[in-house]
Amino acid sequence: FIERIAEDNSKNYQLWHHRRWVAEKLGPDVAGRELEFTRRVLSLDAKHYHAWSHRQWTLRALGGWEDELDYCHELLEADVFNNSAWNQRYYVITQSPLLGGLEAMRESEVSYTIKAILTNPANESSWRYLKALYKDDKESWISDPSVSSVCLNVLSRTDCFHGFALSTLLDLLCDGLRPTNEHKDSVRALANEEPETNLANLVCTILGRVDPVRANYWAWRKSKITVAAI
Amino acid sequence: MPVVTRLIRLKCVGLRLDRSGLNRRICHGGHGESTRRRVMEELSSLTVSQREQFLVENDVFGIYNYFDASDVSTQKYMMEIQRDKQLDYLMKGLRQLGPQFSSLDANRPWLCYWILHSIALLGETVDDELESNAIDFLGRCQGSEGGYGGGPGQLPHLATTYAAVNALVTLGGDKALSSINRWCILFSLWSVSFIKSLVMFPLEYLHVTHSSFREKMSCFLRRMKDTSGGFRMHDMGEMDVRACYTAISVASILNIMDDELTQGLGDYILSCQTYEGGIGGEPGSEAHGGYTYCGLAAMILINEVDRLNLDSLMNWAVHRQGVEMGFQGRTNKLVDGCYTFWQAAPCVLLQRLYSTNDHDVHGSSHISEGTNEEHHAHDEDDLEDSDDDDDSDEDNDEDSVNGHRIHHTSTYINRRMQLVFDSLGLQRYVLLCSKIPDGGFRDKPRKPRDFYHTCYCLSGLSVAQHAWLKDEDTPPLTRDIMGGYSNLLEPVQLLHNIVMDQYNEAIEFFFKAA
Repeated sequence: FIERIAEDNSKNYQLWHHRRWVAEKLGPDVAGRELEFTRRVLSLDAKHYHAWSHRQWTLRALGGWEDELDYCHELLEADVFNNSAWNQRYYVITQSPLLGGLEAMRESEVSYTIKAILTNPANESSWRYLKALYKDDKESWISDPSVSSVCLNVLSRTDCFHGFALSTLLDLLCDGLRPTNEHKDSVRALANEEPETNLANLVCTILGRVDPVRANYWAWRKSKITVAAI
Repeated sequence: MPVVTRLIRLKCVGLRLDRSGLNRRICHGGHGESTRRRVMEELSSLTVSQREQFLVENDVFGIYNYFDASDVSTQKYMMEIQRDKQLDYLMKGLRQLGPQFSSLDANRPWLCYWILHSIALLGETVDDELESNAIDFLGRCQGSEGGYGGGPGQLPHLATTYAAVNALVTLGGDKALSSINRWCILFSLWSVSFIKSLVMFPLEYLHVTHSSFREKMSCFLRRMKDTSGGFRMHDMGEMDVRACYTAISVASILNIMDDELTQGLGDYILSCQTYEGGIGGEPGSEAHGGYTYCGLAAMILINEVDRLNLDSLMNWAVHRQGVEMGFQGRTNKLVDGCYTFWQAAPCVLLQRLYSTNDHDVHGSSHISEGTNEEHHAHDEDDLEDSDDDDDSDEDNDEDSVNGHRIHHTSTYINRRMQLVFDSLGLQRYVLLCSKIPDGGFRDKPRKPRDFYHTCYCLSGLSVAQHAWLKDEDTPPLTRDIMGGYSNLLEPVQLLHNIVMDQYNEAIEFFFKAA
């Protein structure tokens, strides 16, 4: 019954809420059916907000976590820019009772994400996900060589967007990363004779040029850099 | 003109998703058949996200290029908000809130709000008859136990309650504001047929109905409260950040906030801030513009905003503005005119929060450096304009120390803020790509107009025009307003999206009779 209405009115809140109410009454036996239903909706619109909420609720309330990471991978293979799939990935690694939690998953996820970044350096989703893997653990974030090196790798390329590599580097510097000569050279190579000596300031200046939509934001960031970041 | 041909003729289109590949080949590849074939191949090798983004950019930059190539008078026409046409569209909509809108039957309070608020943003009012009909209709949506439903006889719902209250506040005046009182208590005592014959009550009775109404609304809001700290949309309804916001917004305006309502709410909203920095509808859900606005506004209203990670929230929000200069709702999704409000409002709210904190810590002088050209030029213009203003009692001093300009406490300059987003670019998107010259606004080119988008495009436009101002007493500068001062809209109260004057009137009304 709900599925017939769903086809025409999939953005209807009431419909999804009713579905949740019914499934809750029926219990864990229907986990598979609910996951299958959301999979079908997502095959038509891979970013459907209600479908994703319902899928997360189903996993949480009824189970079925076993294949979820694979499902995320499947969606990302088809479209690495699917931010909903990245979001779901984060949900799985942090919430699944079958996995060890964020810290346990970090190494494999970092390597997965870096691969995605290097293939599409202009994909915001993968950069944000990378940072998320170090949530609440600044020390690991600034000291993990793979984070630093993915930035340097992208910055050394001439044919791609540098904005996310630069802003990631900026965040690292503001969180206490001590820049090496490699960092400094890498950034200076992109500079246009700007007179900054403070590396974080220089990164902001370059960002203002390379990511002009956010020129105001990068100027604001520069004004917020505290002396410690030098 | 086929897509491929138009693409080849465009100057380098900033393709957000892949700066290296497709657009470079379009720019440098020449116009031959082989280029055409290569471009078509490339298009089909793109992911869904890339392809959709590419097509939207094609439409948007087509409009921008047409604008840039037009003569001055055409440009002037394209930038104009077209007030008369907008009002025609809105007034017709209000009058026809009838059979045409049956699919939105549960949403007629929303339509009232979207249309009335749009009219108010344009600085206009509705005639007495229309106003009376609206008040009457909304009154009939009010439930006997408090709250407003989607239509007469429907169960009360937080979203429609929010819309009804906002619509009545926007209408303003004693009749609209006290109508909330009147209907509520009487509905529970008298039958439907009596209601139509009611007249205004003397002031003392108003006081009684007023406090009884607030009790009923209070009861309704408390019934929607969940043990987790959040709110449900209706009895046994869905719970999400939107429900939290609508409840708190109503409670705040009507002066019925209490500890029971705010208990645990901050915890719930906090749990909805995602790893990206934005806020999702429920814990775990993807960061989304609409929910980000709701979450941030609610946290500010309950005075717990500092519990959020404001740095990452700001970072996420400013990244939602794309090459089209409009805002998208989520990372790697498409631009949409309605996010002009949902995303720009948080940007401005955050700007103000940070600037308040700075002011306390660092005092009131503003150090200007030549950071990037745009920013620098804007500062220099500030100086020129402030010389012309004579609203300042203090001196406009400008000293030069160590190569930096230090502006001493100047009433004008200190009332302006450093923006974190591109306001003029945003206004350009709304006026050239969302606005329909015949009236109304839309999501993006090729989409039809509707009242929801009209409301939020206009609201967002107002936010963008007033973004530089720290307080409501400072007027915007002419160059803050894309299309000139004739496009200026009324300022809104950012936490409720109600025109400031009407908001102030409502606060006076509901807080005075406390």
